[in-house]
Amino acid sequence: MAGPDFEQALVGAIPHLRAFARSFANDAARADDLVQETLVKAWNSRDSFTPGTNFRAWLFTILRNVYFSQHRKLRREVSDPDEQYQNSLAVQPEQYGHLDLADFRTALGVLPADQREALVLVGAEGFSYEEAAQICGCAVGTIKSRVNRARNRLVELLGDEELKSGGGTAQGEQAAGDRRPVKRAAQG
Amino acid sequence: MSSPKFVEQAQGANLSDAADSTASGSVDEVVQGVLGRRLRESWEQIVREDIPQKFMDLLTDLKNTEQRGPGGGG
Repeated sequence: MAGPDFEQALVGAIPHLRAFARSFANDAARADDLVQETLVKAWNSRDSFTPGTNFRAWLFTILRNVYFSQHRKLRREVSDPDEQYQNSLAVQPEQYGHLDLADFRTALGVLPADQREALVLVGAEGFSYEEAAQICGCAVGTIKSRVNRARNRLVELLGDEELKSGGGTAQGEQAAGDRRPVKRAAQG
Repeated sequence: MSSPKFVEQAQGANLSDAADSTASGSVDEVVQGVLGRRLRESWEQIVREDIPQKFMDLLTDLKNTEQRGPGGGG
């Protein structure tokens, strides 16, 4: 990819990288640090991108590698920042009349990391199982079963009935009252 | 008790994705549809955020450093 094209594609991918990073570190600032380092790595190794392959998948793979190498370092220094994060999230979503986005995110945060990752890659970002498997460096079947387990766990956490009633109102959100999704701007 | 007519339609229900299950089939499909929708909403909310300026500045820096040549960066 020629310089300007590469740059343009990179800029276009930033919002997606930020979303992916947020699934590793819900702290927005930490997530953005992750994206920043990913951009530097991607820029410096752009010759290793194979034209014709999925550019975003390539970037996601880099972000993942950056995360895991940082994570290993961090583990040595402090106890485990993400474990602390997980614990802070390990609260059952409150039983409201229906499900909102904040509840959903809380439940997502409770999932085991590998399941959450598989689910966001396939269900949110829309990668194929094959692409997701490549990004995670595992077998396609592994991704499938992770996605499956993630879904089952979410249903368990959020409740079948909640989901169904949430589903009923999802399209006519306003009709269900003005309970708008809680804005989760940087909390820190 | 209504007979589950949807069973026939739902035979193609798989876990291929959480994507648009607009046609409600089995309960699982309904639930899956909601999950998928919530997941994408939650994702899109982040994707739609403006790109922070610091990222654009970073790319500019990377470009400039490169133009100055290796070792030219400060």
